[in-house]
Amino acid sequence: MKKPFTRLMIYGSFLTVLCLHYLIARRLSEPYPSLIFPSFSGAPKTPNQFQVPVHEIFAVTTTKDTLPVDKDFFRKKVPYVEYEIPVVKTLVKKESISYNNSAVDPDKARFIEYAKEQLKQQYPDKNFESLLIIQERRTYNTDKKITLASVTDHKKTFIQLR
Amino acid sequence: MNYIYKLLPDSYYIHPKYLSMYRLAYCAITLIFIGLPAFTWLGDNLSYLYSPPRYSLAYFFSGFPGSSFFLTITLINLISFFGILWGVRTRIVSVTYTLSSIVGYSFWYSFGKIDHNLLWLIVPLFLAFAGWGDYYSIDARTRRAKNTEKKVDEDFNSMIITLFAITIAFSMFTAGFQKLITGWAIWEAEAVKGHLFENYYALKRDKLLANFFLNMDFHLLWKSMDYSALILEVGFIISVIRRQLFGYFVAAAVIFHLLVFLMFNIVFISNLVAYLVFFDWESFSKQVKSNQFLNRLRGNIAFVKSLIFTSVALFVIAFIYQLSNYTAIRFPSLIEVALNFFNIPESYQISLSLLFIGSFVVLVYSAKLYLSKLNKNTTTKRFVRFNELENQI
Repeated sequence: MKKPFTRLMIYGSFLTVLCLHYLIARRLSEPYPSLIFPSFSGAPKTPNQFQVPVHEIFAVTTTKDTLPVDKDFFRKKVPYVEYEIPVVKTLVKKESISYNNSAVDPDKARFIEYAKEQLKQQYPDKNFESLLIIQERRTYNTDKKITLASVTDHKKTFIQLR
Repeated sequence: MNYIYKLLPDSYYIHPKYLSMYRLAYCAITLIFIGLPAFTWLGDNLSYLYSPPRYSLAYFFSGFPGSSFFLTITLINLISFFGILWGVRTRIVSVTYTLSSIVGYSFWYSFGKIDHNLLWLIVPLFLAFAGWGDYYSIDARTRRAKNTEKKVDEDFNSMIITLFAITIAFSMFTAGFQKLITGWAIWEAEAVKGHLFENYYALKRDKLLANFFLNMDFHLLWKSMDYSALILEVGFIISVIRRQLFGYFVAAAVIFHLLVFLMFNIVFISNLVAYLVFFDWESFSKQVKSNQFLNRLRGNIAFVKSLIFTSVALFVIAFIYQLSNYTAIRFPSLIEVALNFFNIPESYQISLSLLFIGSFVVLVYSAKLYLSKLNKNTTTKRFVRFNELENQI
């Protein structure tokens, strides 16, 4: 067996590195590779009432009709259902940055082309002017198994398709 | 100082022969149930959706690198994996496998979400240095032929496996600690139930027993689930000190992941593969040796060889067929290939579910091995005592 002191130093240093890694993830942002496991942190403050994040995507036609977008909208590029919410968040984040104009940003232009292509498949006879992303938190009552009227953090984001 | 030394972990030594058995099991599980990743689908992705983790390799890029980059990473990953399977330059290919996987997944997780499958990927990085390529490998054969066999230092082997155990325990602890500081321990709060609702409604994880649990309104049960999760996850880090205790925590964790799978439909396979390192390979090996059926098979070498050859040939054909499909996100597992052949839907989910069932079977088998060992020890102790008494008389 190695000397206890040597072992103590090795295991101690290793644990210190892991703790530093955890601190970076907590205080700054989760790195990759990451040994931090999904925590499912947070517990509801009011018993039997839970808030659920909801996101919905609609397409707005040139005649101002709002039509629901297929759940598989991103699936061709991001084939995971679990990635849908993060992808929507990324889109909203990018849209909030003003310089992402399709005229100057080729990445955005490619995305718009992709969006138009997907919408054309879903609604071949319609013309669209924008995508509408709605994000909110809805409150559920577990006793009554219903959605309560209260909606929080409601946010609308428009992505122009022209 | 002596008090601190008492907190040092027990020896976690596992004979390289058993680690090599684990190496084969690791590769078999990956091929049969999980499937190898293909990073090629990322090559043609939309850079507008690119949102890499701030502290990652992908952050140095402004978008997804081209297809040839991902094709190279995928090929390196594949070659390394098969290098591990056959045990060719095992140490080097194990490191390459982990590194190429991490590079690939850095981009994979650039859509704003990190999946936590790292334990599965870093197993080779740790065990390569503990001797998992020393048996049942081409390396071992070559060394035997050249008469240059080298043995991994027992102390070093134990240290590496202890570090791996600490890594698992720490990962679990991070989840438990977060729960602890965000109200899971409060008596009134039903945290598991809350997250079940969120998963059910927001992510549509409504299969298996999700609905059954959703309709349960029994505070004591929900609270016991909250506390069990807390004790398991936070306690893991303390359990590392005693190897036997760590074994109990690993067994409890298998049940925990199984419950998470049944309730939340989350397939947390990465840990299951990592836990298998701590399976009682020694007792298993002894049982296999004393198994009459396997001994009869061993007597019929030609039959076994032809069986292996046929399986390998079938596998290679299936694999080449899959290689041609570059847009897939991963090379399907063998179970998936078989299910797809019969047009059975949701083949990947079924394949992973079978892995969960398999892990539960391994857990029950481990308990059986443990109990028979316990019985044997008690009988031996009784026998020794009886002899002592007889001598005294």
